[in-house]
Amino acid sequence: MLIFAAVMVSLSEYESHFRLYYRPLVMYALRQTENVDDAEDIVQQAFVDTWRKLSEGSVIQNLKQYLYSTVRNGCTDYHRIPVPEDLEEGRLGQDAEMSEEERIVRSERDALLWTAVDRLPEGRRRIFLMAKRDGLTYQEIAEELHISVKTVEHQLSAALKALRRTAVKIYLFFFS
Amino acid sequence: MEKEHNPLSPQEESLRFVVRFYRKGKNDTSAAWKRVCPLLAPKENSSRLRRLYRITGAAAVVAGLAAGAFAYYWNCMRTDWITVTAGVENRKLVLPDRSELTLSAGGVLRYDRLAFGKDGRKVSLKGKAFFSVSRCEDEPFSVTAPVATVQVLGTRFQVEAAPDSAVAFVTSGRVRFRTSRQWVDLVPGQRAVGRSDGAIRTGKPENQNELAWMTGRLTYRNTPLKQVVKELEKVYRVRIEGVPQSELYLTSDFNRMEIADIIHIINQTLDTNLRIKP
Repeated sequence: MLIFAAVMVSLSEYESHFRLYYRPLVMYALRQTENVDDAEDIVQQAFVDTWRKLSEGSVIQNLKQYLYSTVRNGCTDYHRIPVPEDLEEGRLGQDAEMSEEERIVRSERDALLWTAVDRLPEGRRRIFLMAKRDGLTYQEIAEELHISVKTVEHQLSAALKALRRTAVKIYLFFFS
Repeated sequence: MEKEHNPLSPQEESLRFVVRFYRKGKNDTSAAWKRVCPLLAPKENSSRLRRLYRITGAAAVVAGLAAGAFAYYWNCMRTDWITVTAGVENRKLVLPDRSELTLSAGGVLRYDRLAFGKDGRKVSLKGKAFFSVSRCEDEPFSVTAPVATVQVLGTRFQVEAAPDSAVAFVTSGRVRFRTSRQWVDLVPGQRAVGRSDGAIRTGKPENQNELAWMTGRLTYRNTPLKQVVKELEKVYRVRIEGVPQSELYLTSDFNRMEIADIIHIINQTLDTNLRIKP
């Protein structure tokens, strides 16, 4: 009974860890998988496995580090089983000069930005993605959505303002 | 490539990465917790009856999983490859997602009709084609060539796929061009050449006639005749002889003209004696 209670308490504790680390971990996995669904599967599996470890009585000193390394292993397996699309080599090369520490910091930064983009109002986000992801001109966006160029400009500057509020300097990106 | 010439700040790099993969409703912490939480339920003490329930339950789950897996594999294994070939003339096509493309003479386009639009929109190409991709946020469009892949969401661009090289040219929007070693994002007016060793070279096209094979519009401004001839041979799929060794330059516009008429005009203008090799 006592053990049962202890597990219950740590389940809610576990949930707060989950809420804290889930998105950064997905972004960390996404760098490897380049597929959001697969990244989410890997991270969810990592949380399930880690919970099992805990409930078996293992002591995990640093839960954050443990979760990151479980996800890292999940990604390694992911690459081994299905045929990776085309460029394992390029991807690894790109990340090779980064330390593990830096990768974790990067995943937290990515997660913050994901949240910021997610919080944009629907229409504004759509225009933002068309401009910044797809590289369409204001004119092209206006034509496709049947709105005026002025509206596009306005929506974009509002989106930028919101993203800047996440205290991320992104100026160069928007003028490239 | 981009990294070497124009290093991005970490924030820019992050934002580019995020917008590339952002999908509404994905990476949602609360939804994920709802999915994970039931799998974490603590083990209860079980009576014999409970154990029986559990065993039957487990058996049902196993049977269900097996059936599901079978259905899944059955579906995955079914393919319906469509191959489109353009013979001696360019060919216009509309794909199931209403993306339009022009396949150049001799080009071959292939895609799996059943998979198309389910896990991305994937086609493979040999030869040259111009794509006008319809927008679909959730299904990226990609063109696979032997040495490179071109990825877009909704833009207009051209790909030329040879066995040992791939060329992409963008007229609208942003596309990602990747080889086995590198990738580069292309913006309108840019052209990238990928080689079989994975190296990528980017730049502007040499002239405005990049799309001439499709539009039939050729523009020359003080262009060396030898270059003009080379291009005409490619666009019209002919061999031209009688090219003089001297340095001659041509300034002219040809709009959807017969090759014989073009040759005639050049001969008149530059006093040459070009002929089409039969």
